[in-house]
Amino acid sequence: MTVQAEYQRSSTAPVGQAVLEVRGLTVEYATGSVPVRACSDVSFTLHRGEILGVAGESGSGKSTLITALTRLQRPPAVTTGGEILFHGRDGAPPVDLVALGSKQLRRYRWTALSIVLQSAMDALNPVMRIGAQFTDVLRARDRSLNKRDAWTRAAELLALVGISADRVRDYPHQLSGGMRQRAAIALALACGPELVVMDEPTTAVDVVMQRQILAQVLRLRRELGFAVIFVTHDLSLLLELADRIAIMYAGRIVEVGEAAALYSAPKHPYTQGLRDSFPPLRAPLRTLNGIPGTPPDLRRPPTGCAFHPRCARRTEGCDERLPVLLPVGPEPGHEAACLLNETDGEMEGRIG
Amino acid sequence: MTESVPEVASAPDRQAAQAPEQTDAPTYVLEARDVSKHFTVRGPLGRTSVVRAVEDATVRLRPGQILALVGESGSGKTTLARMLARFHEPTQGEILLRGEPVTGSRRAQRAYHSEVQLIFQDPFGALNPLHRVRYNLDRALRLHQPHLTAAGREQRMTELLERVSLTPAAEFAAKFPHELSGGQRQRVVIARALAVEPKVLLGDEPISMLDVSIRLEMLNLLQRLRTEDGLALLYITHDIAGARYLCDEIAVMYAGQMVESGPKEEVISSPQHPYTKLLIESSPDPERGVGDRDELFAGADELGEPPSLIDPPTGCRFHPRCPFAMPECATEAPPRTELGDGHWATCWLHVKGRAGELAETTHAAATGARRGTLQEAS
Repeated sequence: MTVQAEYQRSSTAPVGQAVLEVRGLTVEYATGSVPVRACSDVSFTLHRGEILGVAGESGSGKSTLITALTRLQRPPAVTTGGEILFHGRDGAPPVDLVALGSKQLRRYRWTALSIVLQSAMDALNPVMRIGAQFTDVLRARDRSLNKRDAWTRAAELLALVGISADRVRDYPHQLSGGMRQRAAIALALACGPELVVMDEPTTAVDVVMQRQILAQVLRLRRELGFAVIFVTHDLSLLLELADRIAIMYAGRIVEVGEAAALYSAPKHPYTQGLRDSFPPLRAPLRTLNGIPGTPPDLRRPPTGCAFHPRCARRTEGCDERLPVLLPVGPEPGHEAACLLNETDGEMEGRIG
Repeated sequence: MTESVPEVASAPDRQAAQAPEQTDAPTYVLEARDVSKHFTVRGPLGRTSVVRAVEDATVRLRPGQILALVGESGSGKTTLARMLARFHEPTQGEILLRGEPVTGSRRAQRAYHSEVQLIFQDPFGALNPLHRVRYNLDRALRLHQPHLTAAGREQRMTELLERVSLTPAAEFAAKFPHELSGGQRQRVVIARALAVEPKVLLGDEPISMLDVSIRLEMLNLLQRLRTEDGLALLYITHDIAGARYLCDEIAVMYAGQMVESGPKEEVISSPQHPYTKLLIESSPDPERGVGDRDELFAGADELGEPPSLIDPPTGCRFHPRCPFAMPECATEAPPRTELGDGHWATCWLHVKGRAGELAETTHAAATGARRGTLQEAS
């Protein structure tokens, strides 16, 4: 059975429906006397077949968010609040991944949700042939699959990402960095997941390989219909790749919206600063000043809006009141958490 | 094996264009002339093979000039920088500091390093983790500025930390490297390189591990050092947009060889080597990004990978990936073509009068078209 057929067999839910609903997710690191809140009240909805980009600086909570979503977090990180509702394609009622134990979660790993990590060398077992690692994953889900068929499937999966079938017997170190990363993507797709979380999958490769990987992700998404959460610090890349982008700062989503809207009309000063931190490839050059200052220490987060100490447009109240995500601009689904957008007094009706 | 083509372009006007470079030769603060580096590696069965990491590369830096060296991983950028930093002895060719060949004595080495400093990509491995920032900086000052008194060194250290925006300086000087963020650590590394008061900085992807907002701050800092101190900088990167922001000229390396070099705007707006073209078309460009995504990424599925440097392709090393390749590309290395304004490229398209094709199509489209013709032919 081809990979496409496998997806089609089980894919009955229409595109546009939610596959993941995150509500008020809060993750804390229980170290020292005061817990550090690395993710605060994060909420978003991911639609079937959508690519959601998550961008932010180091320490913005994007990695914490990923490990919480995939339930791969280890102590001292603890999910202290919120829910992660997963809607299966079979139309069954949504399950809250936060409430599941590790045994129950196994039913969802690889088949419903999988992950691609930044360093494929660390994600792949260095002493196992590539094909054997695929076989492990494939047979863990489907016990009836015999070994030979599993190896054939492994070769098919590698072909999906442009790696020739004879490489299936290679060890990870025999592949180039770019190939390893592509193999890791193929492995994540092995059991036909509905959602693939990608944690900076192209940071360790150079631009040409990066473009190849992104092109393949887009093609496979089109062919297979999975949704993607793509986390990176490189906003310029997300603007080309993602359908929607969420910007994180100090553990919160400060702005979310369609890539085009976020680029042409950012509504949060941080998003604007981030966008203006990338020198243009072709447009006339001017001196860019980026964002002054450094991200806050989450052990002592600033009061009010966490961005206010660095914000050039801060006004009265920014250091006292915590802004919430509110619809902004003409585009539907564009939201920002900034007091500047609340001046027209429409905030009351929109919360809750 | 050295191609004698460079510099000896046949037309007399080209020679004239070369003339000022000849007379100005001593104005280069640092120069690598036709350097090659071959590494011998031992395979699993004891067989040895030679990795040709860099072949016949020439780099020249004037005071106050910033040259960006771009290319994929494994193209020899880092090896070239390490030769310039005298960490590797070139297999062939020579390194000249202010026109003088560099000798190998210990004293000469130290004198060399008080003028040429290398900044590594990884700020985590570049500082002694057992010592505070103060010690890490003080050591460089002691070694390279022995005339300074303890008070003088202390004052200099404060200046340096302030220069890289690590304030209050006293607080940062007392920290251990592990207490600093990546960006702060890289700033300490840059401050330490500056402690020596070098004339040349070699930056091996010095900002690629930093957050975007800090990257810009570092780029502006390097820019300031160039204008204020006349520092020359070799800036190795694969971020073309960042290179354009900072540098004056761009040199492109592929599989150990330089394939194109010239003023940045010309190289970026009209690349004259198919590999440069691929590199630029692969770089993220948000302005182009907000359009039809499928079209944007069309044909980018299979762009190929750089060849092995143990057994590189014959002729032009890019020919197996090149959508414009001709029969001669596989057999003979292309000559260097001077394009004016110091812009040059090594590609057969120029010799065969086909250079115009580079501007007419994209790498992906040309690859698609080529595939089509090959299928028709078979």
